[in-house]
Amino acid sequence: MTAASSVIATPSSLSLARTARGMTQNELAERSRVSQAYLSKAEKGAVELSGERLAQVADALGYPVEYFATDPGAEPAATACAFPRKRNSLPTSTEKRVRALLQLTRMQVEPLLDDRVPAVIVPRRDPEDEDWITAVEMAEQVRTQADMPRGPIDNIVQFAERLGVVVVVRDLGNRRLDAIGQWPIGHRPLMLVNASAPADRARFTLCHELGHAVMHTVVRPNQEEEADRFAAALLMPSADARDVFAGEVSLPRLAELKPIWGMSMASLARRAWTAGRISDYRYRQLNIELSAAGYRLTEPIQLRSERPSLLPASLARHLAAGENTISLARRARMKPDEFSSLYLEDAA
Amino acid sequence: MSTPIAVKVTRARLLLRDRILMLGVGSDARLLAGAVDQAIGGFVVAGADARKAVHALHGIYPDMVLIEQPDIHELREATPYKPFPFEDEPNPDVPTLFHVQRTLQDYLDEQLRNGASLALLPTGFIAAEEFSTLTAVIETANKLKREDVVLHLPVSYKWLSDAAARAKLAKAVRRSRHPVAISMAYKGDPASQSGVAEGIHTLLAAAADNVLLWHADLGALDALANGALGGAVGVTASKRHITEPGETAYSPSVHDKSPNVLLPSHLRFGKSHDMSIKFFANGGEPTCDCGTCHGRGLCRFTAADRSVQEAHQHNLAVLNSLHRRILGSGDRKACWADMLAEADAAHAATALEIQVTAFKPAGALKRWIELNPVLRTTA
Repeated sequence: MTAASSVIATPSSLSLARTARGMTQNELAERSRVSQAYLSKAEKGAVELSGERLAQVADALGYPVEYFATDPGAEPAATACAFPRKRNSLPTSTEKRVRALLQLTRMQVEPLLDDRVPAVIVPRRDPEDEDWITAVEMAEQVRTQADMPRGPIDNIVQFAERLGVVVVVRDLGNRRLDAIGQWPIGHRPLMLVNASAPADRARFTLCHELGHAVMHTVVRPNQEEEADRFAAALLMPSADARDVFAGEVSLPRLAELKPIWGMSMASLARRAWTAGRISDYRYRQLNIELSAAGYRLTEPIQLRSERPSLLPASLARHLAAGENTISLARRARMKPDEFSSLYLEDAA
Repeated sequence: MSTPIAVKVTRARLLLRDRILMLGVGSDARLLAGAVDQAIGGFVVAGADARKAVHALHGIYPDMVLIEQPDIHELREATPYKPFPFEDEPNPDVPTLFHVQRTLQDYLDEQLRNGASLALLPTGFIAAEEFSTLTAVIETANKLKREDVVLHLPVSYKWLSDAAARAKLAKAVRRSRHPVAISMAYKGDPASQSGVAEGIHTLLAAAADNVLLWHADLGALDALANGALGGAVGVTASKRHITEPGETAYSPSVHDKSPNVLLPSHLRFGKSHDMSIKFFANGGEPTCDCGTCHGRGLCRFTAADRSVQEAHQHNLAVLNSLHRRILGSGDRKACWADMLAEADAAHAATALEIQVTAFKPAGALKRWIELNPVLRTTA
């Protein structure tokens, strides 16, 4: 362990922590009483941030001084693509904050996973096959890997976790962002899901992010549409869609299917259309009916929210083995209070 | 990963290049074979008696391009494990000492021995989003190192209307060692669904010289003008598209048994009786100068067998003439654009004459006019 007094903050640790907290350099300067000019130079590596100044900055950001000894910029995760599922109106500053939060969460979570956490068995599309293997085929491959070729997935979070994906549900501070995910080479896929998303949307979002993880190592022009196709096919395979929508597709039928398949009525209508079960005309009609009924804003039938268990179970095992909040927080390079509120409530 | 295969000049490609075949059941084939222009046409015989009909026709017209179509796609879906779900029991007509299951090669050889010019693969229906199945179809077919085979792809219309599916289909067509005959399934006219007409053009832009538009209507001509290898036009409306296994086709006029008649100047099909009521009740009925019609009106056809047969003969004569016009032009796209412009103008003139504004280009014709860059800019 690095002695706090001897730590010199790495430039990337400083800028990552500040961005994840949603602070500007001026705001941090005000709170830490270290000048903005000095902070700016420290983030560029032009001056050293250590000793009393670092202690003030660490306190203002709410991280232990030891955290600043890390070099997140040197991690593969720093350059790997992260894919946020968001509305277009999301401010760039919020997106940057959540990207930083994702990287920070990875740094916190990875040291907490023990050797009983399931191995990563998610298939990954070879970039050479990007133009040949479709999103629907990748969804089939993921289901095959999970030994679940057909049928509803009762709990999508547990499904992902069985494949070795780490899911963290967290308040992302903005309802216009549903989730962000990333799978850097040599690491586990990590999905950060917004706690404020309704359960049906959260399920689709998690599948969407999983789609990015298995299909996109670099940015592609149609990546959002591909991830949506993946999500729809993962939640309801094509063969199931053909069976389920063999008869009349109406709003009551969609409402009946919603709790079974854990998909919103709007997603189910689209699934029927993409599977070729309803015509363009019927799909348009259903969308008009959904709008007229007010279901575009709030759908009937609430699904139960799904909580992750992979990380909490690992933490519970650490605690049972004699570790405590302080030692685990140190692993995560966090202050014990914040660590406890973010990670230990589910492990209890 | 299977890699794209450069389109090779196979016997199948040579024989089918620029050809528009007629596609119908055995009785259609027996009726129309004599009127087929053997230099540019031929016959695809479907239905239960296809084998018998092909054999008989080959005896009478030994030089005609004949294809026997196994209608397996009407009954069974293809799967990644069984892309060609034909009966592998031995042909009961061929005595054997031992029970040996038929292979795909045997199945194709039987078609050729029976008199078919080329063998058509017995592909099961490929439903929407069955991407793994399509991959299996292509890979299995590519293992057949022969030059006398046509790969039939009976697919949901979604394969053409959906951009992701179309992209996969285009790549699959490019990877196919054999020419690919694409049939689209929908309860009604597949071209009525948004994106289908555009989808065919996009597919042709990517892989035109390996594509035959099968179970088509005048879309076969549109495809040919846009570079397709060839096509097959259904004799009856029910053969101008396919339906998914277990589904029945939708007909807008179930009780009207009069035949669908091709109006040459308007590039459209219409039911004879229906048109006589809807559009030409007060006169203005289009006439035709083909060898069957000799200047008579096109609403004269009735549901009587002989009249239906005559309508089919008229349709074939018109189709031959349109086909020849495209083949004879130096620039096929420009020629087709002219034909579309003429059809558009003919609709306007007829609508004015009969005072029925509803008589205007519809469905696929409307889309082709909209899609044509020349007509679009002058519209």
